[in-house]
Amino acid sequence: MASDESLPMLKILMIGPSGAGKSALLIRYCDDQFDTESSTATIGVDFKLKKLSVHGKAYRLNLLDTAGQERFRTLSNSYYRGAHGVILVYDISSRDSFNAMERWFEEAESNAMPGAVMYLVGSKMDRATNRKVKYEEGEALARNHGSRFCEVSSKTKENVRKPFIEIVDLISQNPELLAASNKRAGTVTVGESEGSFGSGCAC
Amino acid sequence: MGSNLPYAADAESPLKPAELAVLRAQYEKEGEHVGIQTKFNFAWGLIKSNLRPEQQEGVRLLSDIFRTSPERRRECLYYLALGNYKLGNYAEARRYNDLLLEKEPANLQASSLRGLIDDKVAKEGLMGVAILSGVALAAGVVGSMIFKGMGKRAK
Repeated sequence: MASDESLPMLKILMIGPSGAGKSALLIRYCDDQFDTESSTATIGVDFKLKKLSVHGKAYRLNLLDTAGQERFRTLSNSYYRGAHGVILVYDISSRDSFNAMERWFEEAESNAMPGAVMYLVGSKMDRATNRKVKYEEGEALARNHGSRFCEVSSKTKENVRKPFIEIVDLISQNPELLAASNKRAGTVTVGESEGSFGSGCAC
Repeated sequence: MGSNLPYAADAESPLKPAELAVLRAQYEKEGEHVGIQTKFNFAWGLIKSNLRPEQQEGVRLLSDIFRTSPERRRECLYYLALGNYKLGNYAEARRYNDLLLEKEPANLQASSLRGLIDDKVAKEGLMGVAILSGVALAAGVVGSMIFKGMGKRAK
């Protein structure tokens, strides 16, 4: 469809620890596929394009799926440029992944443009018998950071569309954010956060 | 829509000069005993560039890391493929990408890059055919003129 080109483009970043299920969520949402057996760790960043209508208004979503592995984190702040929203993903069956979220919020808050919408997602809710993080804990962490929250299962599809619809809804309620993104796109530089960009080199 | 089009996000988002300068400064500061992470970060920034000499330097650094650091091989293979793709060295690009796909047949990023490389090769292949047929056409015209000329002379 030629008209797609004229739809407003929203850039949404997915971050979180390695193995949290960011790529699985994205692939389930965009392609309705799920395959744990053959999943591989993302290299640098992956990308998907998706059209989504919220309240009758259509958007083109530019979804950037960043690598969770430590070795790629020093590169990640360049991916924040112009992002309207950040989806932070942890695994409800891994205490470590949840404990790391404070640091991921920190990264997002220091790199995203002001007003960018944060959304916390607890993934793998199908692993109820192996749950290590209570729903209420995720909810509380989200609230502390002024973020929305939900749990999803990419395996059973439960709630898979919810974070995307809600984050787009929140972004669309903030016309300043929508307008700012393109103007600010050129002003967020690595130089501003030189410390975080260069300091990862100790390893 | 379009979510299955081959795409490599890192191929189309060059860093700003100031960003690349930060990575270069760190690389140069560490000098001879530069850490792998610093070297990889700089190589990644170079690969993302739209300038050929920088892409070439990035490929050179990644080849170094590939040789010296086995634990970095999968990302080196991917970015070596990407760098060579951007440089137009499609045979090299495919070679590195196929090595990665051999190890990780379900790697969606590598499959996507494979699609990009194949598209380029197909396009350039068509262009090659067009050029060759153009040459053949010209040769035919010149040939027939010469032939006619010879024919006249023979008379």
